[in-house]
Amino acid sequence: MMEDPILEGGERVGLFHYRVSSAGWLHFLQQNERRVALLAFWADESWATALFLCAGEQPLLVSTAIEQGHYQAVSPYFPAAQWGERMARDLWGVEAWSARDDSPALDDGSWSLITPLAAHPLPVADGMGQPLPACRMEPSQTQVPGLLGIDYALSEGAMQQIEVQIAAGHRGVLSRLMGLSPQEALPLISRITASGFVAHPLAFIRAIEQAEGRRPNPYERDRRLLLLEVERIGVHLFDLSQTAQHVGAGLLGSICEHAREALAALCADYGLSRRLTNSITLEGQSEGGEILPFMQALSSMLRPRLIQIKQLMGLFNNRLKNIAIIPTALAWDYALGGAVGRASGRYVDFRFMDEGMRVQALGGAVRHEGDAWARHRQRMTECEESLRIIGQIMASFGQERDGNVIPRTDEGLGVAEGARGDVWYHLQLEAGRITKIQIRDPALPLLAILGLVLEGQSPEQLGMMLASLGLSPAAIAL
Amino acid sequence: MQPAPLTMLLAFLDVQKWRPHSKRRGGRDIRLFTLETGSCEGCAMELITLGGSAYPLEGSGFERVQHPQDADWLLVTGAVTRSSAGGLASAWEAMPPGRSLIAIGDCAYNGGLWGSNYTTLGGIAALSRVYSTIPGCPPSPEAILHALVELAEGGSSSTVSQESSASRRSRQ
Repeated sequence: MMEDPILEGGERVGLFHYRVSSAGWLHFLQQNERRVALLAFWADESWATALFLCAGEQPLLVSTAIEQGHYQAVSPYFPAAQWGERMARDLWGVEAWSARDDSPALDDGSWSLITPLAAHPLPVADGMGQPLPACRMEPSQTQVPGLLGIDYALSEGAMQQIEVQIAAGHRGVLSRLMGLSPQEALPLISRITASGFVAHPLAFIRAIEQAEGRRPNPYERDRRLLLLEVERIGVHLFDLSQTAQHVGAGLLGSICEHAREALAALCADYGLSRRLTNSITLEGQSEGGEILPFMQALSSMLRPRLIQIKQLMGLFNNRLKNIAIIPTALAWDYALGGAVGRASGRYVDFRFMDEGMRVQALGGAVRHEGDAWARHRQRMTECEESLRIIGQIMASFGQERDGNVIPRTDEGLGVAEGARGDVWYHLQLEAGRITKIQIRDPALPLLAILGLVLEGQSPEQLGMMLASLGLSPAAIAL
Repeated sequence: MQPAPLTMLLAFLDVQKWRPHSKRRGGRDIRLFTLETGSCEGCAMELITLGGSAYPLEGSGFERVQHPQDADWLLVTGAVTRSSAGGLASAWEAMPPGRSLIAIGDCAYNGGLWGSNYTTLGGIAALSRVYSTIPGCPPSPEAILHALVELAEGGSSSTVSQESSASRRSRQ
């Protein structure tokens, strides 16, 4: 599937996956710095693996063997890799040669083990670990739902030299998932992040299905697509309400909150959980069940509310303009996804790749301004777009479509375009159990550029800027 | 030598008199401070929603505060990572006398699906003998509010059971 000029040599080991020598790895990184986008970097004790996005939104996994605990760093060529390199060092103890940053990302000295995912982790006595430097704004003080520490220096009232910390939120997700069956893993995957109660398990299940060479039946496929849009609307309403509240647009915030709660109540009325936790299952559901009446009720309830929200938004434009700008080039360089990326002019949407997606409903206006106002507008546009998608899927629910039959490889790469961007899972199965799993949440590239975005801004606006970015550290810290 | 954060936490939390009290203190609202300690953020988002305009938190006799030293009740969300234990201990220590601790959601109670491991301590149940809990994954804002009101009105283990939205647990 890849053109030769992108990847020369290498052994194909999966549908999108190639293994190269250490020399081939370095050559690939040097040659493709400007030709492909890095989505994620992961490493364990055996392999360093980078997930790239090539032309035509084609994914490409490239791996190289870890040699004596080391590999050539990706971050000098793709800066977005630095968080992955730091996490791999903390969890598996593997080091990246020439890394841009080798400071701990997750291990802040509080763990009971050093390199807990390595074959031979080392125990640490309580209180004997090496703590991270203190933050000016401790993780529990930052105005986001999760644990995000921010350190900065103040210069004439503006933030400079910004450092971010996510270690406090690390729950040991990967260690819990290893060795589980997909069925056992799903409840945990469904609780990776509240902004992806649907998107995360969906990306996971797509990876599982690819690994097992299975496809969902068209009813289940469409049910999942519908739930993904319901979640998108709910999360966008949360981000819209939080941003509005931070700029003193209380009425707008209230209307968004009420709409989100009405949506949650409707989910419960139709037999789902309020925030769609556990709504994505491995086995598939019946032929529609109550999903169509649910969607009908949802559309009727939301349509007038979205009109109200849209009307009010115009009143607060000036409070959001030119705040926390993400330039278009930065969005492309770091592969920023979701509404944040699209508000900066990077229109990449993996729903176009979804089997069964009614793509004619996609493609709302894309912004390029990259500020809080553009993100606000983009979220609103995407809520309207979601209603269009829901309408089109309802009109042809469960329609059979042609799809490629794929062989069972026991390796899967799954993606789902969540409310905050593209969620990826890469996993390997052995005898029906997970032997390797890596997760990429769209918050990861956002975290990598957070310092650049906040640089020069007033700390008084920090809460609003973070709300506008919709940053969820839970899915990065894992 | 300074005691480890976990030791401090255990010392401060295991005191019977810090159970939630039965009603508003001195005729004023009960002041709530919320603290995230490592979760999917679902419970924290529900608390944010509870503090918004869709639910009558203030009208039900509660007030959110920004600092633990101003709070009567500490609402904890998350499985309590080892890293966040120090912050939890500090928040608890900063609260004035009469303080109470309430675990919001399954993770804050017993670690939920995450349990305890090299980085999490497994929720308040593993740390303290005295606390109240509002179960759910995540509990809805409505359920949280209902449970808070029950606790404020003196709900006890006999009247506020596991089957209802709030439960009080004691392992003494």
